[in-house]
Amino acid sequence: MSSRRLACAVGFALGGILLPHAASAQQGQGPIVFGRQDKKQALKLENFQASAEFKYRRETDSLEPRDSPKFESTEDRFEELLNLSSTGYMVHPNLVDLSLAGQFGLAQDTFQTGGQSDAADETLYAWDASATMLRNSDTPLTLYSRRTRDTVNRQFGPSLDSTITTTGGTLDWRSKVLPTRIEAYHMDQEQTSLQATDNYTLAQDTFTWHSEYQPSSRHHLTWDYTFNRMSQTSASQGGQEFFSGSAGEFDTHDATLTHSVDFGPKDANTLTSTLNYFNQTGQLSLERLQWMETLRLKHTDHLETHYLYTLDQQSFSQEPLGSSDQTRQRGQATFIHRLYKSLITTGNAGVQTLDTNDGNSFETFAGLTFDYHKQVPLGTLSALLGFNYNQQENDSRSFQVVTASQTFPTDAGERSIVLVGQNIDPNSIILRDISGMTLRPGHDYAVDDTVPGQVTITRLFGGSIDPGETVQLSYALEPQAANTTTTTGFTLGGRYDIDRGPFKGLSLYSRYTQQDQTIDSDYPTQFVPNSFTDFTAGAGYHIWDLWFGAEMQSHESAISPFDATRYYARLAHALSLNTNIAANVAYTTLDYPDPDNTIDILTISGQLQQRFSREFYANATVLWRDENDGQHGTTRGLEEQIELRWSKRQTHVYVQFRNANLDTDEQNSSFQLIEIGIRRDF
Amino acid sequence: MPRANSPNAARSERRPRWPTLFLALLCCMGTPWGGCARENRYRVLSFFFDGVPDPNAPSPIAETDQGGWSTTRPGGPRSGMGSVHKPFADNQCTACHKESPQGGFALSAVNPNICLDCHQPVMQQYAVMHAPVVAKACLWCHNPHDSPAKSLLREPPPGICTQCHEKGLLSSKPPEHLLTDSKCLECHVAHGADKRNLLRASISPATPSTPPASLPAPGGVP
Repeated sequence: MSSRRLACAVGFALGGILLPHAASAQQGQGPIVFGRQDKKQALKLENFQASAEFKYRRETDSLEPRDSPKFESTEDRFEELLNLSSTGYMVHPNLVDLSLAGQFGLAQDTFQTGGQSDAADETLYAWDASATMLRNSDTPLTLYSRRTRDTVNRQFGPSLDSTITTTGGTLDWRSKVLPTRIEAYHMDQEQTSLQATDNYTLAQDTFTWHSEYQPSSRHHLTWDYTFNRMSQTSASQGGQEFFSGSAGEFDTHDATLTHSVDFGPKDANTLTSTLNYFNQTGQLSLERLQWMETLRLKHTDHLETHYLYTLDQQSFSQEPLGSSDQTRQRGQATFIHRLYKSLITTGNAGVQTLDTNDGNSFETFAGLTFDYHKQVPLGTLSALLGFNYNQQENDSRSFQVVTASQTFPTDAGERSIVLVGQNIDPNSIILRDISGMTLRPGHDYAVDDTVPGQVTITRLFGGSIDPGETVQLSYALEPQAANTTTTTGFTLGGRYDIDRGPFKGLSLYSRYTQQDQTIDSDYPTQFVPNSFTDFTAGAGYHIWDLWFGAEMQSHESAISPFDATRYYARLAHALSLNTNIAANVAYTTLDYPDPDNTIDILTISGQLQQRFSREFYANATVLWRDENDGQHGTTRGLEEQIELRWSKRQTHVYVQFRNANLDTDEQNSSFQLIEIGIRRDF
Repeated sequence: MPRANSPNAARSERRPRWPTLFLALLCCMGTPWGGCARENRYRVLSFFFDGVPDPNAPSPIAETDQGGWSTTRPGGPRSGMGSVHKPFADNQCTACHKESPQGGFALSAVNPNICLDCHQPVMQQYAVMHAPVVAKACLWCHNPHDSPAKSLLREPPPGICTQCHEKGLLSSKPPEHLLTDSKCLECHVAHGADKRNLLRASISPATPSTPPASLPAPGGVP
C-alpha cells in the first residue's frame, strides 16, 4: 500500500507537470488538490485524553517450612495516578507523526515483614511515546520509548511486579528491490516479589536486521541478523543471588541467509539453501555454523520427493565441564505420495556422520509410514502404520555435550521431561528459555536421577516455566565405550470417529508401538537397550458442549516401565449471551513397578464469565491440583481469582482478588492479592 | 459303474476348472480396470479411498486463490460475478499474455501499456485526469480478469479510493467524506472530469450537500 502511495505521489507529480497545462488551457484553474490543506503548525497535538486513577493493593505472602516458624510479609499500597495521552504531528503527519501517553503518580507503601514495619513513598511513572518520521516515504523512521508496569501471576505462586522499559528505533527501507527493516533497542526489565525470592533483573541490548531480495519471481533471498547483549541477575531462596559475577552475562550473534529458487514446470520445484551462524559467549558458550540444502521436487500432483543435506559444526563450552567440538553431516531422501484424499505414504532414508574431538559416529536410518483416512458409515476411520530402522556405529567417547529443544507437558497430567540414557550427567543439565535466559534449578525446575537409565526434569510450581513451554536443554554425556546400536520398530494405530447415528460424538482409538534395540559392545554392562512395547487404548465422547474421555497406557520397557490411566471431562458452554462457563477435570494415575511408586494427579479448573449489564462485568477462575507421589510426597495447589469491572460513562471501577496456596511436604505457602481501583476519564 | 468312480473321468471333470477359475479371476481384476468399466473402477476405488475423481462429475469451472485474485478458467464468467474482462471471457489469453517456452503464459510478458492497446482513448478523455490513469497504473484499481465488484474494480468504493486518499486527510466538507461507507463515485469520476477535483458535471463544489443522518447537525444538539 505504501509503495502504491509513493507511486501515487509520482503520478501526482507527473500529473502536476502535465495536467495543469491541460486544465489551465481548459479552465485556467490551479493544480489539483486532494483533501484539506491545513495551515502548517510546528507542533500540533490533538485527541487529548486524561484520567485520574486511585488504586489500593494489599498483598500477603506467607511461607511456612516444616519444623520452622512461619514467615509472613504484608504490603499495603496506595497509588494516585494521572494518565494523559494524545496524538499529533510536527508540521504534518507525513513529516513527524506522534503518539504520546504518560502516567505519573505517587505511591505510599507500608510493609510488615516478620513482625517489623516499614514505610516508603515512591514516585510512579510510565510512558509510551513514539514518533514516526516520513511515514509515507521510502525510509520511515520510528523512534519509541515505553515503560510499562504490570503484575505477573505465577501458577500457585506469588504475584510479581514487573517493570519493563524499552527505548529504541526502527528504520524501514521500503525498496522494491531490497526491502529492509533495521531495529535497535535497549530494554531493562525488573521483576520483584514481596519476599524478594523471585527478584530478577535483565538488561538487554538488541539489534536486528532483516532484508529481502527478489531478483526475479523465482528467486528469493532473505537475510536476518540479530545481536543480543544480555545481563541478568536473579535471587534464589534466601535472597542470595543465583547468578554471581559475569555468570548471567552473555552476547549472541545469530545470522541467517536463505536463498530459494523455484524451477521446472509451473515452478513447482524448489531448491532452498540456508546458511546460519550462531555465536554465544559467556559461561555456556556455543559457536555453530549450519548449512542446509533442501531440494523439493514435485513430480506429479500426487508425488513429491525431498532431498536434504545438512552440515552442522558446533563448538560448545560449558564451565566447568569443558568443551566439545563436533561436526555433523546428514543426508536424507524422502518421498511423499498422496493417493486421492485417503492415503499419504511417506518414506525416508539417509545417513548421518558425527565427528567429535575423541570419537566418531556413523548412522543409517530409514522409515516408512502409511497415514490413512476414510469416510465410512457413521463417521471417519483413520489408521497409521509405520516402520523405522536405525543403526549407529559409535566410537568410544570421553566427553560429549548434547543440546536439544524440549517441551514441558501442558497443564493437566505430568509436568516432567524424561531423558533416557545410561550416561547422562545429571549435574551438567542446564535449561534456558527460548530467549537464551538461564533458568534456575531448585526454583524453576528440579532434576531427579534416582531411576537408573533416565533423568527426570520437573517443572516447579511458582517458578518461571509455564505449562507447555519449550526450553533449550543442554547436558553432558559421560564416557562411553564403542558400540553398535541397532533399533527397529513399528507403530500401528487406528481411530474411529463417529459423527452420525445414535453414537454420534463417540471416538475409539488404540495405538501399539514396539521398539527393539540391540547394543553390541565390548563392555555390555555399560548399556541398557531401550527396548519397549507401548499400548494405548482409549475412548472419547462429545455431546452438547461436553467432552469425556478415558485412556489406558501400558509401557513395558527395560528402562522405565509404567502403566497409566487417564480420565478427563471438559465443558465449554455459553449459558446465554452474557454468561460463559468452562470447566476441566483431569485425573491421571501412573504406576511405576521399578522402583515401586504410584503417582495420582487430579486437576480441576473452572471459569465463569458474566456480564451483568453493559456496565458490569465479572470473571472468576479456580484451579485445583492434587499430586500424590509415593516417592516425593504430596503437592496440593489451589488458586482462585475474581475480577470485577464496572464502568459508567467516564467512571471505571475494578476489583481483583487472588488467592494461591501451595502445600508440599517441605513447606506450605500462600499468596493473597487484593486490588481495588477507580479511574475517572476527562 | 458310475462314471464318477472312474479316475480318468474324475480327472477329466476337474481339468476344465483351472482355466475357468483363471478366466473368472481375470474378469474380476479386469472389470475395475478396464476402460469399458470406469464406473466399476470408480466404485471399487471409492470403497477404499476418498477423493477418487467421479468420471461422471462435471469438471470444475473456477477457483479463487486466497489473495482474491481470480484463477478462473478463461472462456466463461462465473455465475454471480460482478464483472468480467471481455477478452478473458472470450478465451483470448494471447491478447494480453505471451506464451512462455514451458507452456502456459508468462505474467512477465504483460506490461502496463497492454491496457492502452484497447483503452488508449481513456488517456485523453477528460480535461482533468486522475493521476494513476496518466501513470498507466490501471492495475492499482482494476483486476485484469474478473472481479466481484463493478468495472473490474479490485474492491468497491470507498476502499478502492482510500488506498491512496487517506480518509483522515480529507476535508470535512462535504461531510460525506467523514462517512465510513462513502459513495465516492456518486460525486467524483474515477478516470477524470472536466472540473477540478474530478467532480461530476452535476455536482457543484460551491453547493454544500445535506449532512448525512449519521452526523450531528452543524452547531446543534443531535
